[in-house]
Amino acid sequence: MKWIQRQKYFLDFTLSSLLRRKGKLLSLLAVYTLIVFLIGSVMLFAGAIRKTAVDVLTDGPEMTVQRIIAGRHDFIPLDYIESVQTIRGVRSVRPRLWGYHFHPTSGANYTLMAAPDFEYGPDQVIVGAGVMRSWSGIAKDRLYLVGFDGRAHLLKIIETLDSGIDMAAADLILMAESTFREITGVPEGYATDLAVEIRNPRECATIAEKVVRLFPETRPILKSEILRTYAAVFDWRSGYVVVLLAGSVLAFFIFAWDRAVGLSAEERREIGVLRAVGWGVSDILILKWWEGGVISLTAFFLGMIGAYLHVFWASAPLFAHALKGWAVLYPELHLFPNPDPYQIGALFFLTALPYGFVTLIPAWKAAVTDPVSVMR
Amino acid sequence: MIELTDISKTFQAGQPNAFMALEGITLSLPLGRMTVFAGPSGSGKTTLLSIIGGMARPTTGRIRIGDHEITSLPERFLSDLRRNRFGFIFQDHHLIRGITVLENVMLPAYPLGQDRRLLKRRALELLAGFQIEDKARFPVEWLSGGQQQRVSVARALINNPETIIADEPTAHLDTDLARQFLEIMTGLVKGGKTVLIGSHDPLVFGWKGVNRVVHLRDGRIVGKKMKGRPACG
Repeated sequence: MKWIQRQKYFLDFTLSSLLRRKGKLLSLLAVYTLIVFLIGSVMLFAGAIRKTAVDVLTDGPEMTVQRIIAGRHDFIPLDYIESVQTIRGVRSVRPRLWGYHFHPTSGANYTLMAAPDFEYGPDQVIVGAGVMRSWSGIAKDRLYLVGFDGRAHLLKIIETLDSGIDMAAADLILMAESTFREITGVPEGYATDLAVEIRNPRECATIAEKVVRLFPETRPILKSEILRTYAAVFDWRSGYVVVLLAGSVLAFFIFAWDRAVGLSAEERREIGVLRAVGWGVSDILILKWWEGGVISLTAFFLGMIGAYLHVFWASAPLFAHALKGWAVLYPELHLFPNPDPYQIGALFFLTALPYGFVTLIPAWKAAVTDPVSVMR
Repeated sequence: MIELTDISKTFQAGQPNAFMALEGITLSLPLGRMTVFAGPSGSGKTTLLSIIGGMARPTTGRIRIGDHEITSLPERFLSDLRRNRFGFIFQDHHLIRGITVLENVMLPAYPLGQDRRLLKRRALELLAGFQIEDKARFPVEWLSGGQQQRVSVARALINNPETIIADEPTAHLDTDLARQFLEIMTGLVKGGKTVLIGSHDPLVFGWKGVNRVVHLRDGRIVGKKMKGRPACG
């Protein structure tokens, strides 16, 4: 009980000390909060975008089978479907027709895709929200695409996909199979790849082996591999930004050190008075520990709340371009919070603890100030 | 009884600019009395009071307070000693600016972790005793010099110490305020406290309530005088 009361007294005095030195407190708090905000934003953004990618891929096929000729992706014959279908554990095999179309005016690559049960006509398309944003030549809901043979195709936009699925569909142009083949030149009897559904995902590796045994020129790609690739890409991007921020973190610690070491004559006098009236060195250290704790916790929570609002409320305008990494088409992402307690804990220990340490030594030096100095 | 035996204090010992502030001080200070250390600036008054109060250590010699020898105590015991057995009144008051009068008075008791309600009550009682209870919520810098002096006396008494040490307490006070301060000190002695004052103010060492004056010069005792008796070397 006495211990708690002591801590309450020290905390009271710490708060009043901090409020008496508003200039020093606010400058330190502002820089500290900014650092936590920047690193926290990168961390939350990377975590959320990884989660979004996982959510998007959840509905995707367990395995995609591509055909490789001379190390390059080639169209896969539809005859393969029947053989793959016979492999035990395979639930269904679906051919997919998709490809890219570069549009010189907007400078963007769009994804063309044939929808299996396209309910509209051959000259009609459904487009992603990113297409509408980037294609400057859209007039009267019409798209002009130049086909593989140089012929122009005039397509009418019937529907625009919800921007809520922008992550997967920002650059997508959906059309009928016949229209797709006409524009891209993919011959009848061939598809871009095969989407394979598997009953038990744990059998994926075995089934992939069997596919390769049947058709040695194919490359099965598992969903888990795509997820790993996404994770690596976003981790790499966020790591890159964190490395760039490392300079700022270092600058902050130099600043914090300078602020903490640079005790003013008034602060030294105060410590001398406290020592003279009977405070021990440990009491002064506890006081300084509380001071560091109040500053670092306040900055950490302010920074993290700011980062949360920045990423999930404002869609991370500061980092989105660097972290999303689309060339031209930036999907409008509405990220959902996916905070990782381990990462938040790591950020706390990487910012609050070093601050505590850099302030502890000067605090100790100040605490051992000879109390007799106040007598003179 | 506070007993000093052959106390000396050398600053920057072993260096070319070494300075001996005190030399061969042997003295017995009875408890429950008011003793004044008189002497000009640089005579060693402040150094001697610092050593008695456990703020500094002598270079040689011993100090006993009652049955306890304090010269070789580790720092944390000296902190306890300062907190529990001594109350300090400084020349410049040394109050903490920006916090209230009440908080300043309570400050020496914070490390003890006493019940806040009781501590606050005691602080208010002390302030009431010095007629400044109504200023308890004011920031301390709003008070006049005389009022600040009384706040520092209240702070010195908050842990109910046996001994009050005051260094040049009247240096910034006019004659009336200085007399008021000395009246307070006389009241404390009557209440059983020991008061040790360092001063070169004739008003202080001529004060009726002073029991003993110890004259210092160049770090040595040059005269001890029990009030009403002739000086003795």
